[in-house]
Amino acid sequence: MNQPECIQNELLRKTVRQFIENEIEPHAKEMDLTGEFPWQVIKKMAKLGMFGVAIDESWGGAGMNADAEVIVLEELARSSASVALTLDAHNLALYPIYHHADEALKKRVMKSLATGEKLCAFGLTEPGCGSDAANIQCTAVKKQDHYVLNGQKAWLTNFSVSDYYVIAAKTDRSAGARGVSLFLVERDNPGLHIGQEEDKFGMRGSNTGEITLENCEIPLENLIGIENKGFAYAMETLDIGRMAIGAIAIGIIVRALEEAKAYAQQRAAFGKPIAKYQAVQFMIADMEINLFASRTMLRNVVAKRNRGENITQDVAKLKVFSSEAATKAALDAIQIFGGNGYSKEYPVERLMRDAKLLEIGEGTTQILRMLIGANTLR
Amino acid sequence: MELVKNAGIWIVASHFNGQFTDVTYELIGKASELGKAHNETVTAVVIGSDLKAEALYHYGADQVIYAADPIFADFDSNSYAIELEKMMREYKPLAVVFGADDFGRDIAPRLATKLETGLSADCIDLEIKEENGKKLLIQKKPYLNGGIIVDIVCDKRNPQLATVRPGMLMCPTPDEKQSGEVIKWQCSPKAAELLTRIEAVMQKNNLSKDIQKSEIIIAGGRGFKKKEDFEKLYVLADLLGGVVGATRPLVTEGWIDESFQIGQSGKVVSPKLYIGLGISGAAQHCCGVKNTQLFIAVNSDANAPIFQYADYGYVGDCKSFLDELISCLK
Amino acid sequence: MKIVVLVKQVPDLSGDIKIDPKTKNLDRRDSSVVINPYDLQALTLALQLKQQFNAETCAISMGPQKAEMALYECLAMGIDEAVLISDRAFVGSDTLATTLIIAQAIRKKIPDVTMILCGKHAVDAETGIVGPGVAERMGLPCVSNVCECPEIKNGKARVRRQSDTGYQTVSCALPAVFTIAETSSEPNYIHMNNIKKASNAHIETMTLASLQLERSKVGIEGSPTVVGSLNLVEMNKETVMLTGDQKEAACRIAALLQKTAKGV
Repeated sequence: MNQPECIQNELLRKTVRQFIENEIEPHAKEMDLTGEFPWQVIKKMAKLGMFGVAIDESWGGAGMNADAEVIVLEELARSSASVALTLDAHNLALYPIYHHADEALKKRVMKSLATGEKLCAFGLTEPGCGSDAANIQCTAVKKQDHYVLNGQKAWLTNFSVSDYYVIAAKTDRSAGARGVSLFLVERDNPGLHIGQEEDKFGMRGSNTGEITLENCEIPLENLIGIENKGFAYAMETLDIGRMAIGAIAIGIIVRALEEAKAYAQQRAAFGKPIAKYQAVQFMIADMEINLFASRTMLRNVVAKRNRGENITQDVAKLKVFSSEAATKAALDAIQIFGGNGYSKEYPVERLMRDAKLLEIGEGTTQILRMLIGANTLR
Repeated sequence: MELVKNAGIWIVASHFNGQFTDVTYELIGKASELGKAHNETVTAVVIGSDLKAEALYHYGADQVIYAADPIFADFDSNSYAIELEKMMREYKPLAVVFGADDFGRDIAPRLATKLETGLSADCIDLEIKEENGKKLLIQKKPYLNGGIIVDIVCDKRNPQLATVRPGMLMCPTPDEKQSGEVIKWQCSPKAAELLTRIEAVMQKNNLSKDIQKSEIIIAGGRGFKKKEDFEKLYVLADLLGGVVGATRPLVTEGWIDESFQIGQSGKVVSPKLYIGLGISGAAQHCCGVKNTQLFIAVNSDANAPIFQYADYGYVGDCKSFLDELISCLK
Repeated sequence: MKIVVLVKQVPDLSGDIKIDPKTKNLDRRDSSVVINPYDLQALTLALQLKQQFNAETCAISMGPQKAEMALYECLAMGIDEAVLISDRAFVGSDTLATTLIIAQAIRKKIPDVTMILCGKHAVDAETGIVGPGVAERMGLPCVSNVCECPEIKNGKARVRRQSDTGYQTVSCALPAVFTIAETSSEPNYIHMNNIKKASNAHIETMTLASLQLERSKVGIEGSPTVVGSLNLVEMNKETVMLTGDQKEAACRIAALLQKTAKGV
């Protein structure tokens, strides 16, 4: 990394951390308790330009690279993983538009999305299929001057707060993965029905639920990129999503470690701080080790991504490792806090509930281990 | 009367609306204590117009020197510093001390620069130490939010300059029997030396209850999450006949005027009774509470530093405890 | 109009600070550095004046090489130019030496400066000497504790300042030095879109040689004040911790209060 890039990263981290401490941290607990979408926080983030850090300046972004993307997510997750997830979901839907949509479509939507004026959601998962993305049931039938979309999408983050939805649908039912295309659906489309919100046990400040497409007519120019290339686009997007999960996991580990360290140093038992006991030291050491390992993996993946190399295998390893490490760090932090750790009064139980999602979303740990193992044994 | 040269502690008097400030008296008190112990005369120097400079003798000054001129009617750091420089070059005192107020904060840096000598600002106490035949003014200065007190000395040059925060030193009781003749300093300041002009003054008027003079202080800190909860302290203060004080964050929040801030950046208080609710007790606050007979602290964190200062402590929520306490007293 | 803002990088003292009992200095492992909060206010005012008068703004900071981070922040906020004053010869400079160095830097860099702004003091050492000291070195008027954006008209400024007893309105000719206290302006966060450009900007470094200063007038040699012993503020009283439920403790304290209050 050259000097301006180092400065850029440090300046970015400092700026977002200060913003988050003043504007997000005071609301992080409340949004977890109420499960309400933090519109005010999101508007402030948009005003600061946090929705387009890695988007080119010509589209209203900040023109930085993947480093910037993960720094913002990590810092957000350190305070509120929910808010980080909201941004991640937005980035995911934005990615295929930015990289594959034609100029006309980009002109229509990119600016409002890169500035965070409007939010978007990425619809791949369905009630009947999650990680098995080639098997989607949602269909898109081409008519003379429009497509008709039918189907259901589940577990969409930003499902009821978005203005744009990027939907994966089958344009060729006989072709499996090669018959999938991505479409942009506008919120006001009469064929789009917004369903129920999930009552999640973690990431409660994020907005997750189901949508239904019922004879949803969209103009031909809302096709993103080339017909039947959607699966490849979606997989690329998932790589970015997994990188984001790595960053969010790191944010959670950092917070768990900070909380556990502070608590262990001030809480006394049998006449000395519990930090002086080896059992506690070992848990703290594991957090440090896992944090170091996760960071190293993330740095490696980001560097590859910045060079334009394929990251599919490495990002899968990062995602499996860091998400498991985050859950473990949060659980250990609870253990160090003892009874207090089990109470909602303290922040560590939230970390645990939030962390668990990271092992499930964007490809479960099991699917990713299969992917990695199969590749090794190829 | 002939003034002593190459020695002595000088106090530069600050004044407002024709009255000397309390810190002027505090400094004279401290200087005469140091002067007696180390055989140094204490000279109070006044620059201004229409002031009753002889009053400074009552507080313990050995000499009062007065530069009077209508030009000095309004404070201007440049013209004051020019006159002071002339005096310093003539008498070369050992040390010159100012209050860390509107006067001292602006004049002292100018004077130090003119004389190319050392200055430490915002001290909380002064001592004199004799080392290798030189009397060193030990300037006690808080650092890092008051967690550390640093001793600063200026060992190679004279005069040794310092400003001291108001309210940090005890104010001597005036003794009208102590008096003397005010020495007139011949001066002819020029209007061109005035670089600033005060056009308007707006006094704050809520200084009626002076917290430094109060014997019972009820203080609140960040443990109070809402302004209306904090304001219940006034109910307790009324029941006990005391005054409400606060820590810096609450002043920053705008919940209470800064004249009621206790601590190093606010006021030093020495009440007979002090009760701190929801105050964690950072050093910069606690060192502002001196010589209490009874110090009570209530805080939700058992490890809060305030308990190290307290005679009685209770671990609990300050808001509900306050309600309970008020109902007990009623 | 040309505005210079003096900026100091200080340890972040906004949270709980820890002091290492051995070195008697800040435990820096956990602490980050920030722009002195009052200097941030000065920067905010400078940016307001930039908008109002199309003023050219320059931030100057004296410190180690790593203090340049504070200057990159200034640039990202919208300050036009930044200068770092840094030289090993300057290490150990007290306020007297510091004002000499800074005044010289301003004379060299912006000889036709209109206004010099800085915080009323730095929160680490709380001296507040640099502003008036620089004014003295440059023969300029100085108004301290300014709390609103100055009014500028016909080469004169009118400012509102916090005084010991309230507020004052003070006027003076320009150029002048203003030290800034709390203002009502909210400091702006740096917008993400400014970061890349600021990070790639050039920051000029000024040294002993480029400032053409005498070695003996700066650093430890040029500093008459010496830091003697450092003492931790500590206090350990015999504290009676009341146990039991809140009602019990409150009644006990109420009794103590009444007894002492009667004696007053």
